[in-house]
Amino acid sequence: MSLDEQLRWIERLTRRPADLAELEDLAPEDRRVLETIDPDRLRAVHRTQALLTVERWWRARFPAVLATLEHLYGGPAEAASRLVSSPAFEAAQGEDETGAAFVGALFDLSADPDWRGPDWIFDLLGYEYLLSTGLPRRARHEPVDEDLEARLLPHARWYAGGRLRRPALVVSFAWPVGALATQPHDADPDPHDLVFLLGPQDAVELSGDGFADAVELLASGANDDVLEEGLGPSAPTVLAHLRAEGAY
Amino acid sequence: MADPAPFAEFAGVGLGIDVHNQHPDWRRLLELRAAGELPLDFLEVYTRGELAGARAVRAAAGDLPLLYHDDALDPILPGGLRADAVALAAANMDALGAPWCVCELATRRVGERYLDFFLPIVLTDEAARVAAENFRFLDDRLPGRAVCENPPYQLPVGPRHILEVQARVCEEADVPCVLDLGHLYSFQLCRGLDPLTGIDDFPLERIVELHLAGAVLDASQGVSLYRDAHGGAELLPVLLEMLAELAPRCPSLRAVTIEVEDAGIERVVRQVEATRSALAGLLGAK
Repeated sequence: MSLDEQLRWIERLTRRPADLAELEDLAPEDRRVLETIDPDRLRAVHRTQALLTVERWWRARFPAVLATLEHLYGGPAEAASRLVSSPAFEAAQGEDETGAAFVGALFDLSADPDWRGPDWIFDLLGYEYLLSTGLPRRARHEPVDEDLEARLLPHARWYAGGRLRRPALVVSFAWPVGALATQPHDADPDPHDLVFLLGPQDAVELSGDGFADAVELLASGANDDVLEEGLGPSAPTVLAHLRAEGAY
Repeated sequence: MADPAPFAEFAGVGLGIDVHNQHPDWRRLLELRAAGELPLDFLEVYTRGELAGARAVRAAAGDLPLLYHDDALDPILPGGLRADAVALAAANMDALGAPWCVCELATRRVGERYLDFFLPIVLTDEAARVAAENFRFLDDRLPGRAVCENPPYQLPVGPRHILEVQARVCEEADVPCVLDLGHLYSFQLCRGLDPLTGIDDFPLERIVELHLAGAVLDASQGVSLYRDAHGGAELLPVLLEMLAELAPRCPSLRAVTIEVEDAGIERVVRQVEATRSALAGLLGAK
């Protein structure tokens, strides 16, 4: 086994100590160096590093999803272990700057036949992803993982042009993501749209009836009469709010 | 081995700083030195490659000697060093006026992937040969010396002792070395060895610098893990004992560095006092 392969094995085993058993499948000469690994120490290092990675990479960006996973798996150590063991971990760029490793790990975990996660976790994940990663990276003109976003936010619609002065993202959620982000708990379905107006350095979140329709109409170039007709009685309030945010 | 000028003799005790870290603020450290409140003989500067940081420290430090610490060179990887990383290290050394560049026997990446933790050198003859090739290459291309540092260990892999491997790298590449006492202790803990096991067979004349840093011992997982916390923790007493025993035995020793990122000023002052006390004989002869 080459030195490069040894390094790849060590990195993999540190994330996935259960793979140590696979050394038995290697030729004796290939496993000679890796057999010097102390299994107890490997497991301890795995647990320690997994927890540190969660804190450094993800805690501030996905706090509510992490709290949910930690409850689901009986504590931070087991949740951290499962996250860094996921094959999706290898998709991380830098310190998982695009979120591909964390979001991918959730998809991997949810594919397990024993998965017992709440129905709302992917709505919550989509919301935390947008706030911590997707929208800030766009504001900084950094690339995002578009395939990941398409999978995570299949109902996201982007609007620009027409009478809109700021690009807008409309996302349909089935659950009350704002409340869940503050305190993950048992929740009742709450289908609603959130609108995010992108600025040069930030994004503004708008919730409430009419905003999504207004953004769609403004992007189509609708005039004031069409707007008032389309939005009905909420038109003055919704349009005043959008104007105040510089949306048109 | 060429003398690593301008440190023609033992320079004393300095601090390892990260220019991006406000704790401690390196400007405050320089103010304290200027006020005579902090004995400081040099700084070892970690810039994460950012030249502006190197230039800022150089401009503010006056005649204080500066060393450079790089962690992006990945000298244990087969296939050679990346030209851009070598060029950046050279530019940082020039900006600092640093006589040497400290680089650990570890990597921050595997393939194209960044690692959240240092992966230390595999403890084999082949790994030592690859690292020696890389250090020789690096030493030829830097404006000063490439200095090889032993890395921290929590999970050693391979049959050799780190001091055997580091000695082989230094001898084959003909480079000086830093012995990080905390990193050495971390390795000995993994193998259940005494703190200075193996040192009698190590080429002590290669050591130009000793490193100290705060650390935490974690036995909560059933094995003893050394967490290299730098300024985030106190110096373990065993490290000061290792320093007091080893420093007088290193004939080429030029610098003792306390790595203090994440420390408050009070802790920095306390660690400098403790270190200088452990080196009283050497400092008195200076």
